[in-house]
Amino acid sequence: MAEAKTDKDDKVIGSRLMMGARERRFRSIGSRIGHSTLILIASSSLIALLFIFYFIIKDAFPFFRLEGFREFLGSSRWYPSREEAEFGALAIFIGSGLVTLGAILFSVPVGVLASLCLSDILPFSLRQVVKPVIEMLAAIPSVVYGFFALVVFAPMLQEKGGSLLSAAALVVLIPLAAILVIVTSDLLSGMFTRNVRKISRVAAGLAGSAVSFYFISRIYVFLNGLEIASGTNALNASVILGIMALPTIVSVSEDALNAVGRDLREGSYALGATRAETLVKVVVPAAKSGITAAVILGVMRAIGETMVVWMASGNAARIPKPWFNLLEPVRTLTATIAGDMGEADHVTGSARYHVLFAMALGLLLFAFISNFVSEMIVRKSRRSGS
Amino acid sequence: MDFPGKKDLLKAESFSVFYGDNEAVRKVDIEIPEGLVTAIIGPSGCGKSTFLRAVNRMNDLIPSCRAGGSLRLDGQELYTQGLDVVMLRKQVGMVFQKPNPFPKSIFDNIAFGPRIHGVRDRSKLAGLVEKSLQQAALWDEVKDRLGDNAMGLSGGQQQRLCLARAIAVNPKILLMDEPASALDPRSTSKIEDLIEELKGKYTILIVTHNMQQAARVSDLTAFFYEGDLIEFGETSQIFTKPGEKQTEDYITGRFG
Amino acid sequence: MEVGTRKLLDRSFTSVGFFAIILMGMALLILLQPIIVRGLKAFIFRGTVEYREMSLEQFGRGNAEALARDLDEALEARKPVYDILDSFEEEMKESGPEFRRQYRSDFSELKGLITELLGPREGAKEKALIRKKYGQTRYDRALIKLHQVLFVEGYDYSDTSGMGKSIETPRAELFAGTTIERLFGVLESDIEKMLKPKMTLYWRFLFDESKDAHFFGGIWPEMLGTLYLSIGSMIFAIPLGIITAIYLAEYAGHGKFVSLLRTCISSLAGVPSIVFGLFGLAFFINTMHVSSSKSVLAGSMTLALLVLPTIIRASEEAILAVPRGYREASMSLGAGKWFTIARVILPAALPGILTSTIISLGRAAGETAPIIFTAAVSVGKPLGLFETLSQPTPALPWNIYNLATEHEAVDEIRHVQYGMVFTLVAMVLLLNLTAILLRARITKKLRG
Repeated sequence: MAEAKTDKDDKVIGSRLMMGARERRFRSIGSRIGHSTLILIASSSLIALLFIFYFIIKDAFPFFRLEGFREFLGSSRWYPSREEAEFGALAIFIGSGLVTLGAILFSVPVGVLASLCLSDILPFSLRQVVKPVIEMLAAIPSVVYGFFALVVFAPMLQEKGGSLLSAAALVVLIPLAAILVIVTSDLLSGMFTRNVRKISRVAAGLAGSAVSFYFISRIYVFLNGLEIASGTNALNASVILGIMALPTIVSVSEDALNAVGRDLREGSYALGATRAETLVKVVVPAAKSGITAAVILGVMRAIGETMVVWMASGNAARIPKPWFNLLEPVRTLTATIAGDMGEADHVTGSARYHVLFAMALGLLLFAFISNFVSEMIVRKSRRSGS
Repeated sequence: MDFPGKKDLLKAESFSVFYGDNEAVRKVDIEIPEGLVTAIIGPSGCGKSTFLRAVNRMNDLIPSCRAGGSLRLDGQELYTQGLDVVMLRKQVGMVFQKPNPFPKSIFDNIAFGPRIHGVRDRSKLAGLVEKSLQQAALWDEVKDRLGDNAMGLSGGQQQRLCLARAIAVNPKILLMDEPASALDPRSTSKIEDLIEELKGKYTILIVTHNMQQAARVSDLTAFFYEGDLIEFGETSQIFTKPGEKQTEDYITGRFG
Repeated sequence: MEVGTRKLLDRSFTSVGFFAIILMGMALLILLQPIIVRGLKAFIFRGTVEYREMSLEQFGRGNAEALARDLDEALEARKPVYDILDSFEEEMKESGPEFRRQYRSDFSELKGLITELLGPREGAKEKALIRKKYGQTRYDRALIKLHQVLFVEGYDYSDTSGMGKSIETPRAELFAGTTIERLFGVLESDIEKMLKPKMTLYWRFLFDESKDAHFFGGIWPEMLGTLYLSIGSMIFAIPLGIITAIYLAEYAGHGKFVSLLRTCISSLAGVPSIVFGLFGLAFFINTMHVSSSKSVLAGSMTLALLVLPTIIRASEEAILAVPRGYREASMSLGAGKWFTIARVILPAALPGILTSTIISLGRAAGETAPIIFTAAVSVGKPLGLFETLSQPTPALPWNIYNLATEHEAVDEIRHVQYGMVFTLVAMVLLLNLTAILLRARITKKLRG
């Protein structure tokens, strides 16, 4: 009885394994339709990117036709609402660049050091405390940073700017100078013979301390005497943007540092290198492509940010004097777009509307190229295996 | 053990290593003489690598790891407060299981150790690099491309580079943690030849799971099993007339 | 270098690293501290009798009898102030034109300030603006106002090298020798009796509509707008994101098209948010005409594009984290690929996808730049569900900007701004906390 049943089942299975021609066609069409729908939906980000480029270019193009490139990139006279409108955006490009530069000067050293600390120095339990701090910094909306910059930080800068800056300078410069003095006196004393080495070292150290004390006190006095006319300036925006860019830089470069692996670290320690030497001479060079990518992403974050610069940078479309003077107000591309669109909105079609798209195109191209470069760097390093 | 004319370089007395609560090396007593090649064998997880890494305190990098008992190098207690780990590691070279050259040029790889220990003179460095590469039998292969990235070398060359890198700081003792396990047979035999050549110049401590290798290259052999040192003696004796049943079982392939 | 120097450098490097970490923690503390401390003051504050009067008249809340009693007592306490003012007015009428000229403008300024502090006098003409109907409703603001009554602010330019220094002189000096000099002492000592402050918990701040351009009332329209926008963006982004992630994780190989797709996704993630805003305006509104002008719909679509890359990446990661065995087991039981994905892989990856969704929700709630041109307005009523298709809405991030920079009385409604900032930050951080906890549970589960 049982045998007979098995026999019958075999036949059924055998016949079921073969699909009928109709069913096969039906299934293949079905799967093809399903597959192409899937690809279509999956391409949504590609389509979105293409559309973004198309629509920004489409609305930027009339501006270049009406006004050309020369004034846009060559002049810093920005008077879009005058009868004889002028669209010199040079100062605005420089403003964006300056604010971003300031942000990067702050966030790259702090971010890379923090990521080194996270990957190699902090014990595991402390790491679990620091990670949420970074996530919170990343999660706080940009308008909140902007609000803080405008309502808390700007008045602080305006009232106690000089003492704030000088205190910050002391915090940075004193350890830096100390390290510099120690290293140079060690290197200098290395050139002498053994018996005078100790004396020469002390002498070099004392001389170095004197020199650095002189310079630091000069800098301190200079900064302490500074009066900041307005708290909403490039410095304010830079510092806040720097804090905003930190989480990106820290997390991306920490990933890169972790990818370096134990082998290399052990190799270096086994040769008698200290932790600092291992990190600076082996780990960081090995992770440099990832760190570069982190810096590029940080730059992108800073240059594309709107609310903070709109609220905190002062929005004055002129080139600071000298160009690196962070204490003057500046105006950035993003803030110009956000601020001027409200007024340009009603007169869709005029150069005033299209010039904002021209700026957006600039931003878009910059973001696209940086993203491409960082991806290339990462891909290349992955291929070469370092 | 008594070897005429050889003083003991490394001496462990009731030495243990713990990972958390787990005792990975259990109360080991061993005296390793200078100038010879000592092989440490045993099944995986027997504590042989842990013991090796205890000699240059590489285990310090693992947070939960601590040591007990006494381990002396040249009379100096290693596990004591205030021991300079940096100077210890300068005297104890190490070659790892997987070749781990730095992603730098061949020259910079070899010069890394001397540089951090204060050699800055370019010609002196060049001399050191050449000498080390020659000792590692790599000089002829790479002398025309010292500036190339070391990652471009073959696996066997990379491992010899790592050996040269370790030699360049002029250590007293060389630790090798299964140095040939990631290499093909030809590269393996080159490494074994090298060990033969370096014998006498350096005291070599080599961990291996390959018994033929231990038999070929070492003067002395220590057999570890589950954290215990079971037997230690001249290689010829261990492989022909082992004193312990467990050693015999392992060597004849009954387990491990 | 000598070993001592190397060790010293090593130690300084370590401490510099710690310093960087501490700096980051301090940045977070310095940022959050004022937001929390001052943000809570929008909810918990000392409300004066004027506040209770406003609350009863505008929102119909509170005990009318108790208020009447309080008001009587307050008016009793204020009587001396008004008596002094009246008597000085008499004095002015009776004395010569010179006296009048000397004091007229100062006196009317003083009267105006006192009206702002204590509210219009009984029997005065009814004011049109709600804010003019009441005195200071918050005791902290009242004390600031009192300070303005007591002191005149001026600038000292004697040091010509720098900026003018702000100095304050007692207002009493202006009226030296007149009956009014007494007034300042009375005000200073009896202000508490005049305003009768009481600890007030105003949790309805979240759910009230605002009165008179945020002078009074709460932030419900903004809250609701933010909820609509963030949830709306998820409605578009989640299906697109998850399907793309399924394609990338389960179907795509390593071909040219896939690598192009991945480049596009990362490029999309790098597009500045303001550019999304411009694109939303140019495409969804001016080209597609999803609505005749700004609307929640257009804003949600724009935000959806912004969060799409995040959702795709995180979902793909979650799908790839599903053990291979699940897949093989399902396929070996004869299930088709679609069935396997829908019934086996997605449920297993769901917590991971949920985590990314929650984080993106917070991101969408906090973004400002993309909604400036596509969805946000400064003042508006809470919208009904179907109005979102065609109407713009106020939203927390936009109104924080708007109130902090463009409102006519920025300083007087700081507490509302802080309240909004606090609410937004609390929303976003709570979402993130949920995500972190969820992720911790997943990792625990995966470890077994």
